[in-house]
Amino acid sequence: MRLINKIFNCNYHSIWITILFSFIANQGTGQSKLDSLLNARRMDIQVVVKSSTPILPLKLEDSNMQTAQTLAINNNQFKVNCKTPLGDPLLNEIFGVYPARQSDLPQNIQQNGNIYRVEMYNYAYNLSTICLVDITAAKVFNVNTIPHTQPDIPDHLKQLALEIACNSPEVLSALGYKPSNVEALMSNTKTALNRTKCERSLHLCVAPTFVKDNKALWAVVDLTDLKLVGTRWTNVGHSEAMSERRVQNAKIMECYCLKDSLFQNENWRFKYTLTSSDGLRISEAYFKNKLVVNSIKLVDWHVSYSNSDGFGYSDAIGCPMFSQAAVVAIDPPRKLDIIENGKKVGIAIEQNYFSEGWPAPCNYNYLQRFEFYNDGRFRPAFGSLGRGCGNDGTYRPVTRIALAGDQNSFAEWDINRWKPWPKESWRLQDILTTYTNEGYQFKISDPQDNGYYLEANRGQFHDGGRGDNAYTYVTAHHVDKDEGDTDLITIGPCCNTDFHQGPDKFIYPNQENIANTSLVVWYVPQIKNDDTPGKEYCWAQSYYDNGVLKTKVFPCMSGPMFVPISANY
Amino acid sequence: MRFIQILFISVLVWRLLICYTNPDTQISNNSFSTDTTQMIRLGRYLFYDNRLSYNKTKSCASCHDQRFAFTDGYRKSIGIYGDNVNHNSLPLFNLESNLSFNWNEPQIKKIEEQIVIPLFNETPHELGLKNHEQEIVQRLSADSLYQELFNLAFPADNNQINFKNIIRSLAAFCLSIKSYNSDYDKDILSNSARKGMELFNSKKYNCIKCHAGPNFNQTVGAAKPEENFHNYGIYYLDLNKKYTDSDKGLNEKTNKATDIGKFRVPTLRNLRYTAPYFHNGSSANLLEVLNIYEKAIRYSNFDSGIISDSTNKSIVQKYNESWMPMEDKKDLISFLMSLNDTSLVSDIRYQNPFKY
Repeated sequence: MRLINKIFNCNYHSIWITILFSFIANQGTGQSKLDSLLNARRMDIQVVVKSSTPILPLKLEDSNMQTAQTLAINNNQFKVNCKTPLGDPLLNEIFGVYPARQSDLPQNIQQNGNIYRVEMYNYAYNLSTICLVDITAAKVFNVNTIPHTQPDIPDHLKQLALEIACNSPEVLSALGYKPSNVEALMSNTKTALNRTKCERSLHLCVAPTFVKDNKALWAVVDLTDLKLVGTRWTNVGHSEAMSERRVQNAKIMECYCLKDSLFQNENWRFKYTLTSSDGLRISEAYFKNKLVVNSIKLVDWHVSYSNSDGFGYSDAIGCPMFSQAAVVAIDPPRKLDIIENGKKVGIAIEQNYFSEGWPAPCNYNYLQRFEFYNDGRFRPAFGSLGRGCGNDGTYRPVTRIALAGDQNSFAEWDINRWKPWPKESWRLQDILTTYTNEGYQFKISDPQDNGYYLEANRGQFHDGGRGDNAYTYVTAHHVDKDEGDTDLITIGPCCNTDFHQGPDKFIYPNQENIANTSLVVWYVPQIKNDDTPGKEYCWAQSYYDNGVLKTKVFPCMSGPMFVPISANY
Repeated sequence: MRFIQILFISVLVWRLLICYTNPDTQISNNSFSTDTTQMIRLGRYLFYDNRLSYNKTKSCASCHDQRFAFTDGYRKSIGIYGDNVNHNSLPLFNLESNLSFNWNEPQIKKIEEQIVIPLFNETPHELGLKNHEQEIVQRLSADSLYQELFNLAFPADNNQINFKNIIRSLAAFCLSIKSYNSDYDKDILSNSARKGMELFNSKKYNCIKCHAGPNFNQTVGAAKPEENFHNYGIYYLDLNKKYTDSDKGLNEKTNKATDIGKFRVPTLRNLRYTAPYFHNGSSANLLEVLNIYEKAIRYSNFDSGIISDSTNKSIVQKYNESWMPMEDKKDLISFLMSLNDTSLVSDIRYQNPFKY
């Protein structure tokens, strides 16, 4: 008995005894549940791979969705990657079936209530196939395949990842106790981890994350191989952070997700809509009755917490419903006047995206802000309002800007002249970058020299931003090939430190000519967060003010300004 | 005249080092007398091996990543249990000419002594090996690759796989990393960089006073390691003489009041890859660094550190708020960028051997 007391009085041993008891106690509950889930999953895979159509369908209750899924699975173009060229079956799985939102549709097609979007993931090739289905016409159209991409993860895979993580001996050992499923955060957000099969998101991987004190334990689960591939710790900072719970508003879905809204004043006219995973999209923007922008949207949020291990999140933001995204819109878009020196100089439209537990660790709050100035300038700005899963992370919002015009060319400022880009390419804004005296880095113009300068953010826009260090990509726009005109799933891994942020897949291996054509500019800022007192950035903390809990936010705004070349443009 | 002499001697010493240093052997106080090729090979594997951390989640390369000139891009690195380590990760190249090896400990004069810290440190845990030495040796011993590599590196030893040899091999690999292939080394400076070099060496800015030597990290005339430790002035921006940070630098080792806030002068090579800067990673870019120096020198009325010497006090009296014009800053940055060696970050000799 004395010996037992001695053991229990020793912290070191008591931890291991707790682990041992937890482990034994869970042998009959959590572990057996996991075993049965894994067995069922493996059985499903075995059966479907032996079938003529190796596609795991999604279990659906809605009959229309079921019809859409069946039509898609029976469509030859949709399942073109289901087998190797030699006919060997490859595992595919339907990840999502949704009523198509307006942002999912090509601009010439209107949602009539019968169009559904079906998303499928191919595990072997790591590619996504997305199609639109008109269930009334029993017809599949607009099939699009994007390599090295992954759709939002369905709930049953999230639950499986949670079971794998919570029952893993590594997680148990690291935390010192067996966590419950409800403790995990960001469980359905895709991740990566270097030197594993999750590296550069080559496998489908997620990271249920557990916050303990001022640290977060990442349990990286490979859903292709159905196992935990590693755990990593991040430091989430010391400052106070308590959550303010919010409820999702169904009205947002009804008013802003399913249809376009119109903004119009004496200078600007544009549509805006909340997409499923590309944030708030601005489309068909006119300045003084001239079409200047086809669309602007935020395709991905990449959040990286380790350069060397390459783990973090490939997040998406969008509508609160029919979305697996962890960070969703909970309030409608807001319209604001831009005031400078007491005078209204333009308008802005803002949209927030919010994790329920923010500003607690491993919860996020993002802001999209589109500014339209009376003089023709416009600026898509994006920011984080802080917190997240680490105090030294890097945020990379992937922005797609499709400019109007089919005779555009692109040039960069090279010390003392405009140097044209003959082909699709990219450039990193760094300390060696040169700018015109006005601060312009790029120029997009037609043969009459109408168009825009791109003024990269170097902290000059008076919104607290400290500069973007952005990757800028330019790709040719195709009317016959969807490279993001409709809602894009996650296109890039979370944590690459080089130009492989996603848009590069529309450039390589065959760089196209981009002189005198329709262009898409992709802008990917790289923002480091900071919790250092006095230098906070992309950070949030809670405090009590007269007994009331308040949150202090240190936003980090990014985004370029587009400045008309000619005042008459 | 004295300045030109110092500059000439510095350049001469540095050229001699480049000309007569074989990348695979060492000539400094951190040198090995025997052929180190096999030790370097073994050390390269160990450097990239996560099994060299207790929970197998980190390796030396986690905080010393080749893509970032063997730093990690973070203000402070993170140990295996998520704790921030005490300082910003220092780059690993051209270590043969270092007089000391970390931000606040001049007494660590050999690379082997430095390697012990990340392996066994407990405040905080970095690789977390303390009290797990035997387990790690067993881990490595069970791998036939390491059996062979240790045998080749230490053929005369009986029990080859031990921490003494692990540390010697890691040291050999770290010392093998060379970076003398910048535009500056090749003498192909742009006009702006050339002007920046002149400013760097000028009496007005006198950057070279602390950033001399082959790696631009040695104080002119410094004979002892601690003479390369200085107060950068980053805590004295508001004329408030109080030292506000808990990290007291050299003072923590010497207890001398004059050493409060003194940290080792870092190399200026490869700054393109090694942001953020300073011992605490508090500056994200070089313009911010120059702005801090500008303010620190203008307000250099604090009690310790080289910035408070009489030379700089005269600068305060002589120059107003814009004593370092933006044009000069741009030229200085151009010069600093000419010290980048792009070949270092992709040199196959230093890449992860498990991948390449």
